Amino acid sequence: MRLASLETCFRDGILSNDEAILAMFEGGNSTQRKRLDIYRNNVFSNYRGALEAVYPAILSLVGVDFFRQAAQRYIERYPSGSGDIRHYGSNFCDLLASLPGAAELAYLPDVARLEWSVHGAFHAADYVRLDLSRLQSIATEDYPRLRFALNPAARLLRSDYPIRRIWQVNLPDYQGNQRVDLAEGGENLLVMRRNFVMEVEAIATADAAALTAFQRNEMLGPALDGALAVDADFDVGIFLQRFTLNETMVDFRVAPSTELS
Amino acid sequence: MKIPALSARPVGAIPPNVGIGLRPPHYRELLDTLPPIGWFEVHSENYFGDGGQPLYFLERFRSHYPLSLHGVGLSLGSTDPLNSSHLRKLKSLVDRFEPGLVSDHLCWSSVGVQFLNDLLPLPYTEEALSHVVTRIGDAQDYLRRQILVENVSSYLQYKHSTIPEWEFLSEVSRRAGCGILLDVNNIYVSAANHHFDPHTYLDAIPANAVQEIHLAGFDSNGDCLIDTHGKPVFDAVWPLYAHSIERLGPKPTLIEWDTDIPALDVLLAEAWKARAILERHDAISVA
Repeated sequence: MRLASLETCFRDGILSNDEAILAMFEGGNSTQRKRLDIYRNNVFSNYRGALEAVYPAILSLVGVDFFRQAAQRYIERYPSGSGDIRHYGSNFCDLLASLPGAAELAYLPDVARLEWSVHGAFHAADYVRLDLSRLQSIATEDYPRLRFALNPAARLLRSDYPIRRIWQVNLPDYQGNQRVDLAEGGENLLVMRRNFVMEVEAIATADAAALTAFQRNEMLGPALDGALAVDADFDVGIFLQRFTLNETMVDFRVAPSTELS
Repeated sequence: MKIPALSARPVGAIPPNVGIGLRPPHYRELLDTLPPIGWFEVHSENYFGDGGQPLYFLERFRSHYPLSLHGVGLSLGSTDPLNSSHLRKLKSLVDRFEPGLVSDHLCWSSVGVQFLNDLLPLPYTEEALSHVVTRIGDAQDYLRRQILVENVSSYLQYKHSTIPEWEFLSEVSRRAGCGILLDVNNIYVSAANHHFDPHTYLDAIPANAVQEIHLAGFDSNGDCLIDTHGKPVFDAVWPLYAHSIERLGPKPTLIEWDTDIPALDVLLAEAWKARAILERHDAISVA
């Protein structure tokens, strides 16, 4: 058998229990099967370990047995696409949303999105704090054409559930009151790595609207219009001060005047 | 007059001394105590992120010790095209940290762009030999440096293999111009699983190609030894290691411990055992 066919056949033996590969191995049939099982166990426990490392709160919420079943389904449905296993698990929120057994925990997919955001922010690029004197030197009439760059270690999320609290009380190190009031309702979250510490904070809807606009590469003018549409009292001065000082916005440039008429 | 640049880093070359696998639970204690370890090795992929804590700590360790980058994901034996984003990440890590050694495994782990993220065995055939030699050559060209390839533990053998593993490994090194990372524990594990004499393997490896040795612990399921890196080095592996050093001369030797990671002093005790063997063979120069 050619090498390419052998590798494909071996992969199918591991992921799909296809037995064709067994005939390629030395030894009797039961030995061959047991030995292939060692590889299968290694592969599946590596994948599962990767998911457990990224999703500790989900694990705590659903318990070991349910997590194991969910991981099994995930592995069957979403193959790993990288030799760097830290990339594995990006679609876990979709898998959770599709599981009938998880329907009563409607917030699970959002908690999974939060954990994936934390994971991404943890490994994101380092950043240099914005030099505010640069901002002060911009002429007032140029402000609407400012394009802000968000911190590479910042992530924005929106959920209809109080997922920050749900996440926090389900982390392995958390000690304290476990009570979560689902009636608290939804929130906009900013996930950020600051000094290597992962922080998750709730932000106002108008702030989230403006930051999301920057993420879409919009200029301050249109971003402001969006924020004001959400909250007529939105104060751009306070917004700029807060989100530059807390390092959410780390760079800017002035778009050519032709871009805003 | 040309003034040489001041560097805060020790030289990159890995000395023929003991090293340990650097793992996050030991970061703080290691930085506080800076034990007399010859060098550190990390899994390259654990530092493939764009920034943050892992790279920060790696910089700090690199300012005190030589570093070896050991990969688990290059999939050198795969019939897919070499993964260019993986190679690019590795290259930028190499450029930034100036490692003394860069290595990966003589195995495959992906096909059809699906990664099994495990070290899977190659058949030892002429076809696989020439394929993997080309791939290693391509990787070395891209990285603009030599790499080492490591023999893996295996639990299965292919009926159509025609070349003993030790000849396959030696020939890969000769044809590709790569070094050998000889894992003595893996030889012990595979020898037990496939019923051959580990000395046959060890004694067939060209001494000048070996640039590093790995030692680790394994588990058993009753039928088969399994390479888990979760235990001390097995008693019977130490004499094989001593035999290797006698035959190969002093070689940088790494203690690997990746699962059930123990307290640092347990890991260091293993390192000092290896160092005693290196010293007994007059292998390391007196500082």
